[in-house]
Amino acid sequence: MEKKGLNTTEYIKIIKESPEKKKGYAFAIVTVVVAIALVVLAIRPTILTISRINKEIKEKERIDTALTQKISTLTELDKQYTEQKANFTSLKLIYPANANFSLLLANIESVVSRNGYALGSVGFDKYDKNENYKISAKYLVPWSLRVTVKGRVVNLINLLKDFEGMPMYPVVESVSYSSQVDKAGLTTFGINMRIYQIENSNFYE
Amino acid sequence: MFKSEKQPQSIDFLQPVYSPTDIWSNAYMWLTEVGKYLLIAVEVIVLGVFISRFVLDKKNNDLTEEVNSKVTLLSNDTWKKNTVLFDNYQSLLFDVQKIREGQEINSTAVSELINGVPSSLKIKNFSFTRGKVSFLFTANNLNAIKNYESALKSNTDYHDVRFTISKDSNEINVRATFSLYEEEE
Repeated sequence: MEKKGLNTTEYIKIIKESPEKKKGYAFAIVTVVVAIALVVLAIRPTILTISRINKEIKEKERIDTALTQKISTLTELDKQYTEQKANFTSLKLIYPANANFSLLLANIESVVSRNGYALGSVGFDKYDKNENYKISAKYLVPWSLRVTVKGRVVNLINLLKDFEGMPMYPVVESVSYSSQVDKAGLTTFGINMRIYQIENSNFYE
Repeated sequence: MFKSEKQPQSIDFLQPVYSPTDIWSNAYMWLTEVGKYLLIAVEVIVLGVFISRFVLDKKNNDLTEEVNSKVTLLSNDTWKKNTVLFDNYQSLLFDVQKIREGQEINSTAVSELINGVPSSLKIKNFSFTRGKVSFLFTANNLNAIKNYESALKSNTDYHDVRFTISKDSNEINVRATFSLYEEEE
């Protein structure tokens, strides 16, 4: 049988349709598919795991730093508190947590007698908040203190100033008196003050 | 007897010497030519990650232990009590500062009110309640009352000034009421 000669067109056709070229395409497609499968199934989960562990570590480092800071602050505060314990103890008396106004009463008695007055009566009551009271304190709540004293009008201003100069920062909210005097020539004054206390009885414990 | 497969003898470069046609042979060819590099690369990455995970896990565990030990320390009753106590004291000191700086002192206002009354007016009654002032005076002549009234009305610290005058047999009775302007905190 005589072998038929090939012309250029047929050679080009052979090249275009060569099985090697088809194999090359197939290899490329398989490579891409396998690469995608490996990235999705092997590399991505490992990277996610590493990134999760890294996040955990960062979060724990943040917590650890905060805790270290807290411990060091508490240690420092404890040191300062021990040094200033006496001053802090006096706060219990100035702003009592159990309505025990013993220091206030002692101070009032002393202030009243120092200004030449005689203490008539002392009474405590709940404070009736009004539009003039604009202080928003977290723990200190206002309380009302009613005092009646007997003395002379001329010393009244000093008495009020001494009242307001006490360490509890009381405020004179009302003062009243009349020109009527008793047998000793003394006038009765009614004074109402705003004082402060702490409602939480375990505040200092 | 084994016979080796006869390879075609050819110098036609367009036709490869050996070109498998079935799928398994092609897969094997791919694995040996391309796939092995992919697998090696992935193995290297996975191995690297595996080793780094040991290091990261150790670090993570160390941190967990450290955090737990600090939490245990802070959960101690004394520490917990101190934390609350110091927090309370700090808030109290803030409160004290607020009331010290935020509240108005009235003794000075009362002093100005009483000292501001002219000597020609005799105070019969005085009442100061949360900025509301009430005076009851007696006077001998109207001029003193008029002067005091105009003085109060011209003072910007007082507002809503009201005077009620009544005459007794010998004296003139005056009731004066007004309010103090409250300063903003």
